[in-house]
Amino acid sequence: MIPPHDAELMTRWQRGDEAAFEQLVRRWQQPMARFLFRLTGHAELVHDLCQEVFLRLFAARSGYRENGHFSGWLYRVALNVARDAARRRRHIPAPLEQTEPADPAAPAETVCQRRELARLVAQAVAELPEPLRVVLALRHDEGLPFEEIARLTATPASTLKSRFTAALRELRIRLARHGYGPGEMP
Amino acid sequence: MNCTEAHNDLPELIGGTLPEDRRKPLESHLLICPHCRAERESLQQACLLLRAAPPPEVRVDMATLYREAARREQRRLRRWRRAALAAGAALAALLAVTIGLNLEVRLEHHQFVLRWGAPPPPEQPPVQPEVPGTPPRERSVADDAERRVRVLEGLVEGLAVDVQSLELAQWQELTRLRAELKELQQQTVLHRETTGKDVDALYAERFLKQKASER
Repeated sequence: MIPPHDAELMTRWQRGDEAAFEQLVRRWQQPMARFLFRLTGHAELVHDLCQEVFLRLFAARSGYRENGHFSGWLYRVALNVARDAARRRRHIPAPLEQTEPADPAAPAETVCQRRELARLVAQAVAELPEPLRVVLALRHDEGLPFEEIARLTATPASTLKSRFTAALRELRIRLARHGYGPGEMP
Repeated sequence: MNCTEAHNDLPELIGGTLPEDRRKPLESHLLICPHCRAERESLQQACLLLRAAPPPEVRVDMATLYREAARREQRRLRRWRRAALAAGAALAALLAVTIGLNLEVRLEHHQFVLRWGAPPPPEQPPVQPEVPGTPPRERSVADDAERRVRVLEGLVEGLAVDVQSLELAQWQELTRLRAELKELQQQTVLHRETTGKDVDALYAERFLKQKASER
């Protein structure tokens, strides 16, 4: 059975079908978590921010107008939620700690190193300027085509490609400073 | 394909979304260009690193979400109710002030008038003490007007008296003339009677005597 489209679920929700709303939440909770995690760099915030995104979806029941881009609309809501949270917390990403380069020749510590790498990557992404973070999250994590990201962010696709390359390059440079250069994955 | 075109297509190549017709020229270019090859490897490495930081698993609790939505809706309604009450109270206060202060708001030509209380009495000209020797031009207009009215009243009264005295003199003159006329009439009647007697006597003497002699 083909799952119903987002637009169809939204229409059903607007008619009062709570099951349709719950289906939308289940479908979009993990993509929203990925996106918000990339934008904020704080795993502990993601649950609350996700909740907020779906609360706004709940509140938009009467105001939402279907134009064929539900996913774009929801990503924009999530982006606004992340921006609001950053303003509220006055969150400025903390600079990466000056840690000693990880020693790849220590297999007993591999798990710890992976955890540390995950923390450093999350922080490095959170330190990037927001336009780079947005394109990184939408392109790399969500796999959206550049044309759709262009529509979502009102930015030319060519600019987005440059930003994406710049974001990856910047990430590589920052992590290389902490010993995670080419071939040094734990 | 040159390096600029290759760099433009690299993001889509590493994402696996580059169309076939652009992928083949790019791969051919990468075989001969070590710089672009290094760039691709660097980007791929960054993508691998990104995968090292997976997002947390999230499961939205629907019950909590519905509760929170209901709480927000109630809060929104309370806020509206409070705003409506505040607006009503402000309106009532404004009305009370307007009535209590007898407030008058008026837009006139080139001015906005906000007045409270009873309207002010018309402005009185400042009373200046009479200084001896003060020239008349320094008197107030009201004084001048009053003085002029008094002079006019005097003139009218004088004219009335003059008219009365003139009428009396004329009446007396008329009475005198009437008396003289009456006396003149009496004299005329008397004179005519005398003259008639004289004429009769003269006629009798001349014509009657002449007739008698002719006979």
